[in-house]
Amino acid sequence: MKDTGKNIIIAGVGGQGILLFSNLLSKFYMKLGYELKISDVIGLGQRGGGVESHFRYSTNPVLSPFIKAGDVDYLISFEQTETLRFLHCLKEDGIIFTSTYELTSTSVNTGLQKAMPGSKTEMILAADSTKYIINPDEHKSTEFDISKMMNIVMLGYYAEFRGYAHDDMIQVVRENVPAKFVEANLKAYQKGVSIACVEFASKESKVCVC
Amino acid sequence: MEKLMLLGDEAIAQGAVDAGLSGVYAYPGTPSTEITEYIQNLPLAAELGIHSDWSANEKTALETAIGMSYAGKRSLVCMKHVGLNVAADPFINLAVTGINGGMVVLVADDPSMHSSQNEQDSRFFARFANIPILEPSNQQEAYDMAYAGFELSEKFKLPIMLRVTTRLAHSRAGIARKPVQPQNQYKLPDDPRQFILLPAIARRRYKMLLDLQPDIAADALTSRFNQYIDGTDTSVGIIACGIAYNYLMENYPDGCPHPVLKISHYPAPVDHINRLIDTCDRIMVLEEGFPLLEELIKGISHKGPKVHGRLDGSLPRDGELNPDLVAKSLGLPLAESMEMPEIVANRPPSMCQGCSHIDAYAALNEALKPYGSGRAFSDIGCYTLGALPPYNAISSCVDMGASITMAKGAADAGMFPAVAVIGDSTFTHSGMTGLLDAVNEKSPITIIISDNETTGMTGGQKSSGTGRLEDICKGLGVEPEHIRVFVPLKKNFDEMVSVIAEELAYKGVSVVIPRRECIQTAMRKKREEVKDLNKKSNCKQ
Repeated sequence: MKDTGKNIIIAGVGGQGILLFSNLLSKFYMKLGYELKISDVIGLGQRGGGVESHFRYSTNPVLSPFIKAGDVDYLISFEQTETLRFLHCLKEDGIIFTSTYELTSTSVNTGLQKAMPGSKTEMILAADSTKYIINPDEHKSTEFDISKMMNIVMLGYYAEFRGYAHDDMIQVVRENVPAKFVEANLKAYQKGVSIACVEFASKESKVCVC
Repeated sequence: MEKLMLLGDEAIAQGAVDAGLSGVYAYPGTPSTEITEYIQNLPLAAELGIHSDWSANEKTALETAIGMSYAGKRSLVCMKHVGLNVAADPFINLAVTGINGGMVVLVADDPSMHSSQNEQDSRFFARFANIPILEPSNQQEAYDMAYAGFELSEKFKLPIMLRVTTRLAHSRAGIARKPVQPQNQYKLPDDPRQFILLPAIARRRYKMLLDLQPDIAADALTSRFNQYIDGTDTSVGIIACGIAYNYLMENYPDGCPHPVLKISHYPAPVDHINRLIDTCDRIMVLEEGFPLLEELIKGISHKGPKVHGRLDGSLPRDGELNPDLVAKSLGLPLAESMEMPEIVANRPPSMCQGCSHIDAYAALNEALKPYGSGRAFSDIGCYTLGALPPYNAISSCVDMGASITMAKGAADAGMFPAVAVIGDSTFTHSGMTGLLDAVNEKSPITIIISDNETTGMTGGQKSSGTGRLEDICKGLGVEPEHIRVFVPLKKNFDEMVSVIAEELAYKGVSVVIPRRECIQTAMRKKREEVKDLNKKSNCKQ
């Protein structure tokens, strides 16, 4: 294994399928023979709180369930405020994968805190790190509901970015989502792959294999 | 055998099942809930007939587990740290009676109060009771300790505390399993008087417990869970307890240059500690929780060895540890990272859209308007979020059941009307006895039992009194005409307000029950119905 491991923060809000995303990824890395440690900070996710998963895979045993500050390789986020919350954890050469989806915090809705002025997307764009941004509104499909399956879209996107064998990842998806939803999930996965292909072709930063 | 990817909680559950467990007893409480849930959902546990139903509270859970131990079988009882306060009476006495079948008391502490009213270090309780503690540093050790804990318990005929904290309970790692052991046979205690704590017997048993202490200490000294690891740089020696050991080693990927004493089995191994003190210039103590060992080693005289930790500011006095705090305490360089923009809004929890508590609070606030604020006492549950805007509906949240008794106390002091807001599960956990006090004195209080027919805060576990709340209240002596039930929905707003207003005006005990199923469990049921329909239609094909 050339890749000796990565530290990933997966972030978003309750109901976005972050735990499924982290679960699928863990099954994939286990099959590759990596050691894993995953810390799910659910907070009170289903009651409007944030969800944060510290995901670590390595060829060596993983010790701390926490990733040290400044030691995050990838930040994969499904909500823009959450992306901004974890930007500071990234390594110098860390990479951001984020959706432009936005859910206003209850603390703002109830007037406990002021709303952030300006565009969050622009704040993310201003970060020094390499970033890959997906706007779900630009990728709506009649075959699946992207507002519910952004997690699987992101999985396809991430797998393409990493150059992983899609057959293996798809197998993990098949084995771990309810039978009824497999087809829609595979469509979402393919969507993620094709968004990535277009993105990487235009940036010429990655060689597309699809 | 392929490794299982398990939460720390799940690893404990699997370890206990594989060790020949006969029953788990618990009341849900973050971060311990997943242990019992795992056993409830484990096909192997069902096959082996392992008991796993929820108990009404932690005290009944612990006592039932003692009963199972009395009958010779291995029992596990699980709770969060504040649950041990509720179960403290049987817990302390259990150390005096000792056990028959092996018994593990699992306590999950929540430093940083992610989902709790306080932070406590349950190791103090075990020290108080004079029993051994196992404190895993990782998920595999959590499995191994649950597996070995019963044997250790039976060896000394004492209960064992297995102590974890939130981060270990709620993170996953690969677990290697051991062979499944058969359950113990039904067998009464050899000494028929062992569990009778009459003073004459209790004095004898307590002496036995004290006499056992040197043996327990000797056992911990040679335990495979404790480890003295030599190091060349003796400027500091490090004691790392439980998960803190992992935070320490995370900072030294190539091995720690300092001598390290890893402690995961208490009583703390004094010989190892003395060796560390003799070898090193000063001692750093890393503990997840209170500075228990730090204080003991430092001693009361301040003439002991140079000890650093949470007491001298090397580490924060409160909150959970992490690798960065440990690095800082040892003077290691920290990664330079950008600051989080101050502008990023917090995301505090809030009640779900469509939650029945919201409608109940809307009606209560309206009905209380003529009387002014500051008279609604509340309790532990999702409805505690009614303290936040826009509801600002309640004035207290102290401990399970305190809403009713505090309302009674305030009424005794002249408050009228005084109101209690309590959930159905919290009511059967600790509210019923307080209600009896109020009934006995005909206290002028109105109790809102906001009944969502589940234990909502912890994810929707069975609630002990579902379907029987009115009967329970009647049985405790509440007058039937002052037990009022309605469905909390926007469209019923006027009805709800007038019902609550009538009962507020009554100068005796009233119980108002807004009843509508938790929106989360209702949605889950709906999803499962769809799944079932799906299965059936697949079968037809």
